[in-house]
Amino acid sequence: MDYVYSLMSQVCIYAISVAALDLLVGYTTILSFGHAAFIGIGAYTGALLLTDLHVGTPVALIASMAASGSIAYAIGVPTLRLSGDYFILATLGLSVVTSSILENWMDLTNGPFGIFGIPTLSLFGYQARSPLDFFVTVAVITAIVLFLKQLLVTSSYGLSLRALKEDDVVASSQGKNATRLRVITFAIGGAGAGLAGMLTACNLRFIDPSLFHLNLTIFIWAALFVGGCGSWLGNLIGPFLLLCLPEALRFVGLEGTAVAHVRELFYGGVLIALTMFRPQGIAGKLRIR
Amino acid sequence: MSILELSHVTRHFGGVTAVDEVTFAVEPRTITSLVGPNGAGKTTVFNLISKLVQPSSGSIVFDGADITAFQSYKVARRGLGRTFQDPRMFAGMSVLEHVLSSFSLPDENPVFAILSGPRVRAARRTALLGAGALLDQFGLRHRFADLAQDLSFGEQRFLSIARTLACDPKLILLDEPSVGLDANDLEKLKRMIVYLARECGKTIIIIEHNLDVIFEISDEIHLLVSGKLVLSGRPDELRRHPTMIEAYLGGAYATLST
Repeated sequence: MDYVYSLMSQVCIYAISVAALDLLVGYTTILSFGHAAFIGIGAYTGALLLTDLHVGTPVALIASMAASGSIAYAIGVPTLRLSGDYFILATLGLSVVTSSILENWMDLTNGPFGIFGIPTLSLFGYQARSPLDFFVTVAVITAIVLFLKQLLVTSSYGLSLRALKEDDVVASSQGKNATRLRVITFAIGGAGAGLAGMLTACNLRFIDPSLFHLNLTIFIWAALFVGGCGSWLGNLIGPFLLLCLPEALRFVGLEGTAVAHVRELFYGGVLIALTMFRPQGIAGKLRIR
Repeated sequence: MSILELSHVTRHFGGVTAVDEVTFAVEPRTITSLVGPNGAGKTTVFNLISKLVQPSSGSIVFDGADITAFQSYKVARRGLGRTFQDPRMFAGMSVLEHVLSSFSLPDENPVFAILSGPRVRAARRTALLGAGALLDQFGLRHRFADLAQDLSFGEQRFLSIARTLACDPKLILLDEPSVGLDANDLEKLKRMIVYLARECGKTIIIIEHNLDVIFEISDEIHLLVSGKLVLSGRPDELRRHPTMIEAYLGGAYATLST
């Protein structure tokens, strides 16, 4: 059962990443390909604070979100004035630069060797000692994140984001400051990714730069597409399907290397089938523009 | 004191001068019309006033402030609202959401959106009541939950005006509001524009090709031809003015009419 709890913890952590990306892509058309970088920044901030400075988990959680959120804000101010294609390039660049820093800043990140011995989550006197404890803790955090996201998207702020997404000229003639709204949203999305990074670090107890490469961003985009934009249920379904169904292949008797290939085939097949038969995703309510 | 003053406003697009040294002022609580043939630069003047386009030269003063270098959202927040030639509905948004999206509420700040305290809830309730009243005014209340894209073109046109009014603007720019309206809706539109100016104290500038509407409701008319302001005056002064007739019907008709 520990294996199942561990898998479900991963689903929850990815759901947080997907929810953060949904705020950017589904509600605002901020096509960010730097999500893995923000997850990585959150993971390393949390890991370093927990292992080197021995701070408590709540402080590390807040610091991870603050680090990723403020870097997203700092990057968003100049880049969100760029048109769509250039912004995508800028975030791809961020991803590459972050990977490079994580691999080469030996003094801080320990480079390719990564950081070991990251403690598990310990919140308000409750320490997640077993995979079940960890799953329960992460599930509660995920529920809170999805609830907060629903509060945001159903508020006037969310309505402004949707107006901006559909027609930014009309939105600006309604008095919406498009750049400011986008920058703030990018920072919130970055903070959400930072939280997921910190939880990843506590889940794996070890992190290295290879965990936060561009393929992680692509995986989260795929999970968002599969689950569908604009739906908290979709944010859960996407990671669940993309993590659990390939795991199920382990039990059908395929050889070790074949499993990896079949998994890639599976992702491709699911994405092609969805774009053909359900382009808005399984539980999607918003279209991606 | 004028609510809007344009002084020698010019806008070039490459080698083309879309608006050429246009100067006029608009008094509060009046209905001003911009008329002229297609390509005269009327919509560009609207885009310049609402700051969707920046002038190449000249200055624009709105409500006592020089807005020449402002961005569009800042002008909107100072009380300038506008509609567009197309209703430009937000896809996937209901009729009610369209109107609500124009209200400026505290929970536009994500922190307040999450905290959602009594002040936020009270502001939301007030906005809902205001949106309901606006939808009533345009006969759209019964369709509040429908998607705006499912409305008829005339209903979308009225919804786009309601969306603009929800910003509570002092000055409203209406870009060809009568296009696509049937006779009943056209009457309703005229009554609404006059009501907004006379009873609600709004100032209105309207671009319109239906000259019957223009002569009936306007206090002042400006004629634009090839980006230049060639004629200004009251409707009774301009109705049979040769320049007006020439602009719309050609030189031969102008000679006949005189």
